[in-house]
Amino acid sequence: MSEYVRIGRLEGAELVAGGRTHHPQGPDSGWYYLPTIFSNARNDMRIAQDEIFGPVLTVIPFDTDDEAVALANGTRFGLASAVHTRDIKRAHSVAAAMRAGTCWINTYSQWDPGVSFGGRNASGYSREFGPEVMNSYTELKSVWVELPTG
Amino acid sequence: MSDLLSRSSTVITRGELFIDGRWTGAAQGGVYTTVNPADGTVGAQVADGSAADIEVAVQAARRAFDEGPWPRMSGHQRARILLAVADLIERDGEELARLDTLDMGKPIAHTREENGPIAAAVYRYYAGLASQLSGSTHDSMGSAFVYSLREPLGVVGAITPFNAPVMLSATKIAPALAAGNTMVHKPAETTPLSALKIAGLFAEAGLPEGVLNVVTGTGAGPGTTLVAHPGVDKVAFTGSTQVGQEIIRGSADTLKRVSVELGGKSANIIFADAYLEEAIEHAFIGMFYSSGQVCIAGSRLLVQRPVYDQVVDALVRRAEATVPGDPMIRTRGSARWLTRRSSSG
Repeated sequence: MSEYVRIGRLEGAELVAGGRTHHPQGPDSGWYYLPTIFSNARNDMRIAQDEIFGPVLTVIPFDTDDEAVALANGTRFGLASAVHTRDIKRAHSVAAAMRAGTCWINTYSQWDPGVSFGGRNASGYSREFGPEVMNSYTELKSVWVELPTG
Repeated sequence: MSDLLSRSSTVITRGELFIDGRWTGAAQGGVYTTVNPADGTVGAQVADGSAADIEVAVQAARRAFDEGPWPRMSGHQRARILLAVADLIERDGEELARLDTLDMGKPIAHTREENGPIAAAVYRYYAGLASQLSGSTHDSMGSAFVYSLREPLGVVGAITPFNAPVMLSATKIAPALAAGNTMVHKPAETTPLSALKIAGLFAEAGLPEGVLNVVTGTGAGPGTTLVAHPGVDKVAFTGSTQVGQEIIRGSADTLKRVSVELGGKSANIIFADAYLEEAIEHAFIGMFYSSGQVCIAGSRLLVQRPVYDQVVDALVRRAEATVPGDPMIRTRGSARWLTRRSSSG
């Protein structure tokens, strides 16, 4: 965590929140890290490309729809995505353009056991949830039955 | 902690694996100690299973598949057991919540949801599919009539991460068992307790011996053995991209099937015309739920320039107002926990 905060600063992003550990129960107790936000980052920075798997948010500005989609897809991963807009046309066109297994429109993190979930590229190629998963836990066998002719 | 131990089933104090329907010590007799990331105190004594234990567990799962009743039952019969487990998960949801919070520090309010009603919903959903496996019929170019059958694979190995232990094992155990497979589950080293508890609930629900085996342990040895084992037909993994790649490579010699749910760097786009208050809340929770230790964390936030400063200022205020606290008493807000190992996705 601390290493990525150091990297983000070196890369020129602006640390606007967090960036340090927290010890509510004494200096040597527990493993906490404050919610950390980097602003004015670029998509080619490591803090925008590496999965940190901790509380670090990287915020990047954009101007146009095309630019937003290009930034969103500018990653080796492809698990989830989201778009927030009141424009229904824009929402669905961005959802269609996302190279990810999930796109949320005006929401985030929702799921259901019946709805397929998974990724592409570096996020893996499998799906969990949904009825299709049963195919990945079964073999398909074809049985041929000769029928009487004539 | 003492409250937890005194209230809970004996599972977590045994330091044992669950193999072939029985609690048993690790072959080499080792135990290791889990650590509560909230304060660094000792959590529980857990059996330190090794390759030898994986071997015994795979043999048990193999026997249960090749000779046992589970794959030969109707889907309707398997569904009854999965439905019973869902009820038991809800009955013991508080304990399941506490075990995971103790192991990995997610606030208790979140583990109560995930490990109770939500996990139960996953088991019930796949219980519903157990009786719906079906094939198709075909005409053919020759003189034959053709039909297809959906058959279980055999033994499934599940390797699951620390960040949502009950949920991310339910996504594998529920469909695998619904289809009639048998299993060996290797939970994350840091979060073994709820996996043992779930195995106990399956036993209580009447799952035949050897159908679900749990091997806890440290290091890569047990998982590597499971992936390379010729008696295992499939490995289902959730975790980091790097380990996923190692698993795919390790599965090649035995040509086993592999499912991989790996990492992410998900983008969340906020346009200037968004419902901003909601969008900011989604951006914050989507990123910081469970301390960002979630594969779907929205860790890249793309904000259109006209509202850029407004969104960032609001997120900073939200972050500064979020004070980490004891996960066992925390009822709302997002977690700020880190386990010492953060390699899972």
